[in-house]
Amino acid sequence: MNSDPRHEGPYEGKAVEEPTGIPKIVDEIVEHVEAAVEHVEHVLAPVPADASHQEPDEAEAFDSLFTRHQCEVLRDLLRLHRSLRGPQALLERAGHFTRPPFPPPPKTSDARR
Amino acid sequence: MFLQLVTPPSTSPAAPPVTPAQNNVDSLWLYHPLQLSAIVETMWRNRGNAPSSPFVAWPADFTNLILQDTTFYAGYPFPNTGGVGLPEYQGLMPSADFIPPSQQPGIALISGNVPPTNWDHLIYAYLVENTRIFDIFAKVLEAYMFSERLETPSPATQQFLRNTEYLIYSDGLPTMVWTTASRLRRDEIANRMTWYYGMFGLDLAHAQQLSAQHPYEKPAAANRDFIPTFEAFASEVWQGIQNSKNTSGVNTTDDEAISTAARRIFDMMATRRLNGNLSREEFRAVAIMSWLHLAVMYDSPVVQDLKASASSPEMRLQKIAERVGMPAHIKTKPLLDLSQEFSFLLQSIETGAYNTPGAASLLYTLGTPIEQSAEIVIDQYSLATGRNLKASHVAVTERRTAPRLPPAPPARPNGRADRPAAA
Repeated sequence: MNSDPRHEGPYEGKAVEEPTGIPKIVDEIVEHVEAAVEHVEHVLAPVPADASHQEPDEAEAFDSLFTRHQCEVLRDLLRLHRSLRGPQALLERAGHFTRPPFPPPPKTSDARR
Repeated sequence: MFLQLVTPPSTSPAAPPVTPAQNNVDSLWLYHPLQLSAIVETMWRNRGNAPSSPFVAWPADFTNLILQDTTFYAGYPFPNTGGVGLPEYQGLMPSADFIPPSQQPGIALISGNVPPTNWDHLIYAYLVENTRIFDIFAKVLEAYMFSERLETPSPATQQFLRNTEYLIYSDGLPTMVWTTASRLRRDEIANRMTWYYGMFGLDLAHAQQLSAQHPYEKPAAANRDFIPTFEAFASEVWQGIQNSKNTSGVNTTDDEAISTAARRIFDMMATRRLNGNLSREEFRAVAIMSWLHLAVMYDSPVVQDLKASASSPEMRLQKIAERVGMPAHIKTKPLLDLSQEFSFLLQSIETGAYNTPGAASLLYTLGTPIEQSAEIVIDQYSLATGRNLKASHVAVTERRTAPRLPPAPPARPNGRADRPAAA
């Protein structure tokens, strides 16, 4: 005889869903492990290249596309890319280097003399 | 190298810079050569990959003393205000504020910490030098030194010319880490051509003209396979990019082929660089070219004095070249556009990131900065060299020979039989 009450009554002989609620103790274990992992990463993670400057995490957008290993490589490569501080087109878009205004501003009457 | 010195960390278009790099460059031209030497040594000392190269820079106490010294005076004004030193930038800054050497973004301390520095790959120097920028500025210096053919340069341009002549076109101080010329290897241009050949198996486009004045030696150990291997790598990456854009059809992306080619390039470069070999030479070459590149990145004082204002670096260089009666390379635009992205791509290959197929997809997954960079390299490489990396693979095989047939019978006129020959 089956002692599981779910296998009795209307559910008898049918596939039974697992209970959906997670016991509180599991939640606590997960929190504990996450906190421990976070702590370890904080201790072991190297100081970012530009500590005072909070770089946007461009790799975050691709977390769902790549595996964990690929995401780590991507972050390393992006750090390398930023360390080279280019290219020119990006620098110009960011306002680091100006181009002459086009069309040129009208000359004043003094300048024409 | 100087490009990384003057550019603040963030280049995000969303966040306009507090101090534009252009302002830092305007200040850079005005420094005393000793300050620039201290900057060079500091950039080297702060390099992020120090364990890979053992050469020691000037001591930090020494460079800090120079960099933080505020008494680099242009002199004292007499007789009215005697005793007060004129700062080195007195009346010379074209815009905004003068940035002292120690505050340049590449070496300024961040929360009291030393920031790690990085600079471009030797391929950057090769590509920029291919534009003939080095020869063009040599001619500009000659024109200013020996004639009055050009207009008298402004004080700011004169500062630039002084630094360019004594730091870029002269031998460095013997104690400096970037000094790579000596009595044994006097000719720096020839030295650079030797390094380019060693690393990439390539000569400069104008090598034939240079070799008469700068004979150089092609090293026996050189990466002669670099270009075929790189082209195979780039072609495979393009297959990946193409297939990422496709929604149907055969997927010919081959991660294994990408990583195999990447591994070969990695090994080639690592072999030339064993124990930090060529690191100082690369540093010097990249520093020289980035100095000259910066000079044409915007309408700098020398560009304005040469009446070479333009909307892009290649046009400025072209106009400067015309002023001194020289041609710039006709592919200057793709060469300059390629230089920084190619530098990043090769550095990323040298990290070993793509040595296994696992990370190859980063190169072609649409939208990642890595893919965008790879695509620029493939585009600009094709424009600069005329070799289309996007073309489909064509296998070269032996020409098929037609099967041998018996000789055709002689043609006979219709309705007439051959007559036997008369006896």
